Amino acid sequence: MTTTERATPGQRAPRAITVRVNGEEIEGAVEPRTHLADFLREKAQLTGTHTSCHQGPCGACTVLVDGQSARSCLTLAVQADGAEITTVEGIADGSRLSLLQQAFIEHFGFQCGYCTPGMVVIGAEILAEAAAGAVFTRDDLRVRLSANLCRCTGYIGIVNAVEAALAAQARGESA
Amino acid sequence: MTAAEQITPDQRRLVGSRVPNRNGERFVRGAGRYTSDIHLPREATMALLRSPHARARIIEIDTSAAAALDGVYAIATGAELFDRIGPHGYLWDLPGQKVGSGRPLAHGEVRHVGEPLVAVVARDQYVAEDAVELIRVEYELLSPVNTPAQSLADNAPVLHPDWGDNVQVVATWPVEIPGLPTPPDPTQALAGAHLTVRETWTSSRITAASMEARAVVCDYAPGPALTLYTSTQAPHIVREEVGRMLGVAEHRIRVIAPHVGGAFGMKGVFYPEEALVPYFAMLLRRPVRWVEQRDESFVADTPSRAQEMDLEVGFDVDGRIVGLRARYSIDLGSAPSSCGAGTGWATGALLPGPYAVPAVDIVATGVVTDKSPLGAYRGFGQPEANFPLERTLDIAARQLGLDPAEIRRRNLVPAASMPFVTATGSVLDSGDYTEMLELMLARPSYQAALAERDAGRAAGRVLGLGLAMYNENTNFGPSGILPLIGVSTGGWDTASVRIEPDGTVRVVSSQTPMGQGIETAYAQAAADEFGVPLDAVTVAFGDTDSSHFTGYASGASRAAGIGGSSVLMAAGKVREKMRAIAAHLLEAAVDDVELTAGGLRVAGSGMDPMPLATVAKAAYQGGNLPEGMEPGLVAEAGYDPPGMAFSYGAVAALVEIGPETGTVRVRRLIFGHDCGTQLNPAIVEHQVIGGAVQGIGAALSEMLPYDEHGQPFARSFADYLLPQATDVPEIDLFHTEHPTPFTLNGAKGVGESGVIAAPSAIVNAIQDALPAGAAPITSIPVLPERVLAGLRGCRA
Ligand code: FES
Ligand code: FES
Repeated sequence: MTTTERATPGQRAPRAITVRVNGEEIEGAVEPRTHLADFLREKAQLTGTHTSCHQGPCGACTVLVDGQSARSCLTLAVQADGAEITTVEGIADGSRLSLLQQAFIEHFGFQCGYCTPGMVVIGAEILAEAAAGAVFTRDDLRVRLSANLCRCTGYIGIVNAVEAALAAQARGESA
Repeated sequence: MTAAEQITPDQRRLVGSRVPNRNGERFVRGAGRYTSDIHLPREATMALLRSPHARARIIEIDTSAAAALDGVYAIATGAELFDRIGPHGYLWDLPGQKVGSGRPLAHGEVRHVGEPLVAVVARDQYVAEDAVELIRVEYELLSPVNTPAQSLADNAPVLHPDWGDNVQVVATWPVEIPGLPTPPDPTQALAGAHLTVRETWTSSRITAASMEARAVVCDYAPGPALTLYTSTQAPHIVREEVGRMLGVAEHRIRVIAPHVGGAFGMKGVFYPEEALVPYFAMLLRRPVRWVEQRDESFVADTPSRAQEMDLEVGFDVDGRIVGLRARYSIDLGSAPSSCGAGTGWATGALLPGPYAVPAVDIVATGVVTDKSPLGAYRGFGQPEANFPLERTLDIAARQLGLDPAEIRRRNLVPAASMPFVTATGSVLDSGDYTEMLELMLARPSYQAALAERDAGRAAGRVLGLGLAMYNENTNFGPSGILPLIGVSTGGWDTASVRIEPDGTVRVVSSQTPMGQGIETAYAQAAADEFGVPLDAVTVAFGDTDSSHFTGYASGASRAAGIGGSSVLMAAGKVREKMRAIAAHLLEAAVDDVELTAGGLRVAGSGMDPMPLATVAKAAYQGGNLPEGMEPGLVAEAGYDPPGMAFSYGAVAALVEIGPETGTVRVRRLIFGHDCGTQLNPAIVEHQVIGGAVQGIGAALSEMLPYDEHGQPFARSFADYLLPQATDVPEIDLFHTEHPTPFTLNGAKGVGESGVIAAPSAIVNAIQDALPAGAAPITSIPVLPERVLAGLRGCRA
């Protein structure tokens, strides 16, 4: 019952990596088996990225790697060397919440909040795609959001939030 | 803040309005603080070796290689700890129940896959897991007891030799209550019934699967002084257990529940890791952490349901229930958790649901098997009661040629009979169940669902509509009653309210938030009580050093009604004191002083209100108070409900079946709901929706199956299928409000409502979609194979 591979001492030799996280350069020496999620939570001390399964299915650990959503529990930290990472902590513009973050609050897109970082990050990706011209129906949103699990909300508040943020973005509102 | 700015008219009635969750900004920024986010200097990490076998004798454990690994600080086996850590206690302690060793690590034998048997503490998670892999255990394999039937068989191996058999407890209804007439025996009624329906119903073993797994972090200081962070619903219970098991006085232990990432009853149970982590923290004199991994959670968290019920219900010629007989087993797993057979008890006590059942004969048998111990999960025995009865009503309706709505209409407890004492001894406090049913039937969405079903069928699609009703036992419960029903603690709850020197309000509750929104609802209540804006109120909780003792903790849908009433009581005491101080300062009679938006004033005087801060300043300065008054401005209050409160509702589901695949899609869910006064309708709405979607999972996909060797099949979210965003229909939710007389705010609980009847409505809909002659679907979840068998008209 382990989440990590056993490694021989040679394989464990730490490697130096540099990752830009939310615009800030983070350097660290990591064992090759260290997941990006652990690197972000422990080395970068950004605990907003949550892990619920460390196995791939839940999406709680979703971050943007060079603008694309990725599961940080399935990504090795060494793979992210040189990459640009956005975590939930990097979504707001300083004191101003993004449209999407505001919509999550307004539309009750969370209860316990544990899945919320992953949902906000995948939602940010959806909004970015929409800004680049993609069109999403409510059903499309359900399909996209089904990448991530939420046990509390029954998803309706989350779908409502993303839909509302898309509409606000389309109206040209800014955060 | 000046008095004039303190409040605007639209802020005055916060209770009852859709105030957004107060944690919003924290959570959307990723600034929540969950147990696993907490790191302490010099911390070590614990990992556990768990049994790979369902049942085996432990011959030898060799930890030498693990101990030799660099970075390993401590290792202990169950045998080594047996005398160092005592047994856990039981919140649910039914009369005559038998218990296991209650120790956190197995010794002698292992009794389920995943049972912890060796604990390792090391530098970090990676080293701890490496060390676990180096432990060698020699087992003598024994054949496992997989099912209640095997467990009860004559020649079954006895899991706990001192028990004599595998029966943990037996509970029966009706219950003789001294001073009340002897309850009727249904034997005659059933014998004389026009129709009896008898089937065996199965509610599979399922699990809460909160997105945050469990975690425990313990800080250590000499004394010892322990600070335990744990993802729990019950900080005080954890403190009590840790104290007793480790022999540390409770005042030396502080338990903090930080943000809790979902719990649903599962985290109301006391767990072995909550004793092991502080044990090692004391041993090593350093902080120790343990973070549960997801694969562990499927064997280490307590699941729930796991009942099989033989139910016989008799009806008269008009479809009225004349009596009910039930024999059922609760598969408790290898030994009772701290929750014991509580869910099984609730099933029996609440089996009649919202219906007037004149006579019952119920026997519940809790048995042990080689599976993970059973605990609690949202619904707590009530879905297990609802499914058999609601399915039975549909079967009876069909046989009697009645509409499913009509048979329910004829059996619901009439509003005029409230409060109503059920044949199992529960008191239904209030409500109009018939009105709820009629509202459902008249609902445009219900009519649309009917039309959609009929039109779809005409077009050759496979559609069905199902109805189910329920009531939910909430505000659990009066402290005088709890010991009589096997609960070892009181059912009251406490809050304190303090006006800070600057006039802001601080509420401290002994309830623990876990996503249910109580921090928001309590703030609304307190803001209204003092006429201040929401921002002027903070609500603190989840810390035994500040939160007051509570027995049953957060669970059993008791936060809104019982916790909320205690907030009102405490606020009332503070308000009275403020009025007395203001009267003194204003040289007026206390009776003439009112608390209004913006402060206190002499009623009808037209004066500007005296700000709360002015009164608070006087209270804390202390030199100019009414004769004999204590300085300060704080009050504590405990509310013990005189009775439980029953929320209730009706659920209709429209399902469509894929004729080739057997997959079931819930196309519409219509939910009528009454939880008395709604403190925050948006929170209520989302609680119901979240619960109903969990009900979809229970109906269609979630189960924890075991093979014949006692090996669990589900060890990840790839095997245990939670509903996804694509599985959820649009939900039409409507409300009535019949306040309970048994709380100060009229609120009944809401947390468990959604999950109780949704599975029944969905299965009734599936049955409705199948050919008329198809055998009844008698177990949940209903997997595609079963649906296909039904479509072919045979029984799976
Ligand atoms: S934690 Fe990464 S997918 Fe679950
Ligand atoms: S809000 Fe709790 S898991 Fe989504």
